[in-house]
Parts: sequence; structure tokens; C-alpha cells
Amino acid sequence: MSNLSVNLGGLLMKNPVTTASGTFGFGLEFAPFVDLNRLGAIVVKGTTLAPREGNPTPRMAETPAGMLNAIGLQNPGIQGLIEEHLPPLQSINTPVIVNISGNTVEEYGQLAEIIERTEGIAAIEVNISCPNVKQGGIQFGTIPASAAAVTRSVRENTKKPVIVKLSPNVTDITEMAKAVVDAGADALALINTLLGMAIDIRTRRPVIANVFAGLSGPAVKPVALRMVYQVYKAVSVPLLGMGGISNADDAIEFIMAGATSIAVGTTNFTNPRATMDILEGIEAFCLREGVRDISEIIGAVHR
Amino acid sequence: MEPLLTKAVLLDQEQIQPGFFRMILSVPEVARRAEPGQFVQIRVNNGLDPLLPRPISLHDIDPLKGTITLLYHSAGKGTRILATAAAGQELPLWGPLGKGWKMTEPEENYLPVYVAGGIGIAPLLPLAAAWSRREEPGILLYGARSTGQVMTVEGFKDLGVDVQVATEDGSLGMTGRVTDLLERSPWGERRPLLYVCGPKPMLKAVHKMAESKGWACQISLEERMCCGLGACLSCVCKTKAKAAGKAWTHSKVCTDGPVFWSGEVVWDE
Repeated sequence: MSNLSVNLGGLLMKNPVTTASGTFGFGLEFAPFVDLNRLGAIVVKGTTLAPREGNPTPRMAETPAGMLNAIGLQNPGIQGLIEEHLPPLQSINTPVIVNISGNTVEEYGQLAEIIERTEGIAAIEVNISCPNVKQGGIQFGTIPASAAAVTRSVRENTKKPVIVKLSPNVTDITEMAKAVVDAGADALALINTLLGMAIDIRTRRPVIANVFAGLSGPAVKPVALRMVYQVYKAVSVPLLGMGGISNADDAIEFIMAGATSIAVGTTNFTNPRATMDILEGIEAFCLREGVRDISEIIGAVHR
Repeated sequence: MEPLLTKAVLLDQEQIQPGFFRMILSVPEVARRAEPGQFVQIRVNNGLDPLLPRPISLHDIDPLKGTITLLYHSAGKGTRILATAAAGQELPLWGPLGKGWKMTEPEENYLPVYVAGGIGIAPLLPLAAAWSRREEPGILLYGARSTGQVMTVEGFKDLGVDVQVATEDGSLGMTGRVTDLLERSPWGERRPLLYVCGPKPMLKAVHKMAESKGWACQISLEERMCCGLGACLSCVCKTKAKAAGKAWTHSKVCTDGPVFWSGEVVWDE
């Protein structure tokens, strides 16, 4: 058996396989199909300070080899998460990563402070693809200085590993990557969804109530892979790669492009057991190719 | 019962009305766990397009034979592919999913009244079968645009259900809508429990009638669905909030429903 354990910016994972926030609920939804103990980590549904009802429906549309979603961060708030959803995960031997979103730089800091003093949360994933309420709703993740400010606010309030999730909807993702690493990120997650839309030609209206929605699924994989490759070259922190991974071969491509860990997202919806299939596929690949330690293939394409 | 991820084997499929298909699947573990009003997530192929599974309600459940039957309208990309599936084909599937119809205690002495609009007939047949086993087959009030959208009436008649049909064009039964059938309160002195499934405007209209007349009512909702497991939050609907100071909250059609008591449901205007 090869050694698949990895260190994602201070977060020790028994293998590189985790879940993309928002596609795996709070974990237990997938317990009928997945042995949660075998996952490298569980990233739970994005969380805000106060509970949110999210966007009106329709929130989802299918696209060729992909899907659009605009859920609007419906979640029970950080206290709801800690009281309702965290306790059942404590019996599982897998670190929990909480994905956080804020309306302001200060809110990110408050969330980090709460998580810092909460047992049972191993790391923070920072969603910077949120509108900055104080700056006309421009996303934090599209301006290096804003992204850095959010990262600093989180960093100052926690010693837990801070993983900043990058938006692909930028001109140069390496610029964003450098800015948040300089501000104290321990690791980077990429990519978030690509901004898209769909129109119902019969009603002549947008399909999604929110008009714009995030594209994910196999359709985005080449874009995500390219960005992981670029960011690996630009920064020295470990990367959590995601974007359209639907099987072990895809996952290994991301690892070779430079990802230390990988997240399975939309594929959880098309095969609820996908994380296990991908983990087993990575194990089989390493055995077949004589890879004794997964670190041998992380970033292999750059060497 | 926990859902199961498996492969169903297609035993038989036929077009019973133009565009409407009935397929019988061999999937014993799911058939043994399933209850009326629940659904399965079925993938129409193993490829990446269409990507997502299709949520389809259970039209018949036979735990002894180990089969489930799906009745669906071939209206979109996925269901058009599903309609071409041939006997012997394996289809990835998970289920049973969701909370189905609630049967009340016999002492409550309700008469089940199934209220269907078009393809909304599908999840009501296994419910009628369950009530019929309790020797209370009930009444079916079935509205459709035309006779071409009326199907599986024989299945209800075989169970002893009193079937009453209304079509908008008058091609079958009474000319009018299902609400016109309801106006006649065909249950006499009995206390009706309405089980409603159909297009949204029909659900709203029946809900409104039930509220004004004080009839007990359960509604099966539909919304664009993705995982079917309560994880993605695509398929939410508005329901009455339990917390004070809030008119509504979002519930998940897939795991909190698809069947709700009408008193829980909040409609958008």
C-alpha cells in the first residue's frame, strides 16, 4: 500500500480526497453511500455569521457536462452549524473543514474567531467569491487588496490552517494567489465556480432566478486544471484542487498539475459514492505505477 | 430506511399515452425499502451529458417481485433518452428517497381522496394500493387537459377506487377541471383526506379550496432537483417557519418532502 497521507498547510489528511463545499451537505447526507471515515477531510456547506435563506428558485440548471447553481449561501449560520451539524461528525475520524463567507472583512474575522475556539473544526476554507457589501457588492475575490484584507482578518483570529478558495472569474489568478499567500494563507483551494447563465427561449427569461449562476462539473475541468498548474508555479503553499473531477484519472491530473489534495464536487450528485471510487482509483494507480508516496506525483508535470 | 445506490435492470417499458412511458425495473433492495410517495434518482446513461440523475416518483412498488414501476412524461433531454431504454439495460439508480404520503390512523376515520392533475397521477397509485389493503380504497378525482393525458385509471379501478375524471376539452368524463370535481364533495358525509399531486397552479387551487373548506390535505411538490439527498439545496420550497417573527423558511423538497401537509406549504404569489 502506498502512503497517500498529505499535509495541506498544516492540516494532516490520511489521503488527498475531500469534498467541495456545498456539494456534500454536512457530511451525513452521504453516509448511506460513503464511509466518511475514509475521506481525507470533509468540507461542509458554506457558512455565514447569521442564518440565511438563500436565493429563490429555480436555483439550478443542467448544462452539457455541467450544471449552474445559484443557491445563495442558504445555511443555518455558524451557531446552527456548531450546535446541529458538528456534533454528529465528531464520532467520525476525519477532519472537518468549515467554509466561511462574509458580507464584510470584519465578519470573516468574527467567523474565524468563533471557529478558533470551537473544538472539532480542523481548518477554515475562506470563500472570497462573495460581494463586499461595503464596496458596492464587488466580490472580494476579484481585487487582490480585498482578498488580502479578508485573508488577514481570518489569519489574525485563528491559528488553525487557513485555506483561501480562489475565484476563477479574474484576469490573472496568480495575482490573487500571491496576494492571499502574502496575507497569511496556509493553502489555496481552487477553483470556485465559473460565472455563467442560461436562458429559457420559450419564456424569454433567464432560467435561474438569480440570473447569474456558478458553472461546475466536468465541463470546467480543463480550465480548473490550467489554473492549478499556473498557481502551483506562482506560489509555494500547498493547493487543494477542484473543478469537474469525476474520476480517479481526473484527480491524478490535478495532483500532477500541483494539487496536494483534491475535492470532489458536482460528481457527488451524479454518483453519491464518487469520493470512494476516486480514492480507490488513486490507490490502484499508485500500486500500478509503483508510486510509494503520493508526494512523488504532486506537481509531477512541472519536473 | 436508508437509500441504496445500485443498478436497476429494465424489465419492460411501454408508451401508454403519447409521450408518457411506464417502465418496470428490477431492483429488489429498493423495492423492499420503498413507500408510497417516495422517489428514486435515476441516471439515463453512464455518460456526462445529461449529467444529472432524474428524480422520478414510484408508480408501483412490488417488494415480492422486487420491482418498482416508474411513470413519466418524456418531455426533456434526459427523459427522451430514458424512453429509448430497452429491456435488459442497466440504469444507475439511488433510492428510495424523500418522505412519502402519510396514512392516518384508522380511528381518525378519514376517506382518502386522491386528487391528480395529468402526470401527477403517478405517485398516487401505490398510495391507493396501501389504503385499499386497509379496505378503504377511496376516491380518485383526476383532471387532465384531454383524454390523451389520462392514464392508469384501470389500476385504480382494480383496487376498488371510485374514479372520477374531468378533462378541460370534455374528451373524457366531466368537462372542466379537477377543482370542479372537488366542488361536488363526492365523499358525502365522510371526512376527506386529500392527497394532491399535479402542476403547481392546480396544487395552489386545490390547497386554497381545502383551506377554505377545512379539508385535510397533503401535497406532493416538485422542484428542479440535483442530489435528492438534501445536500445541494437546489430544490427548496417555502414552508411556514417555526421560529417567531418569520413568515416562512426554506425546506428541502427532496428530504423534508416531497409530500407536505398543506398547512406547511407557503406559495409565492
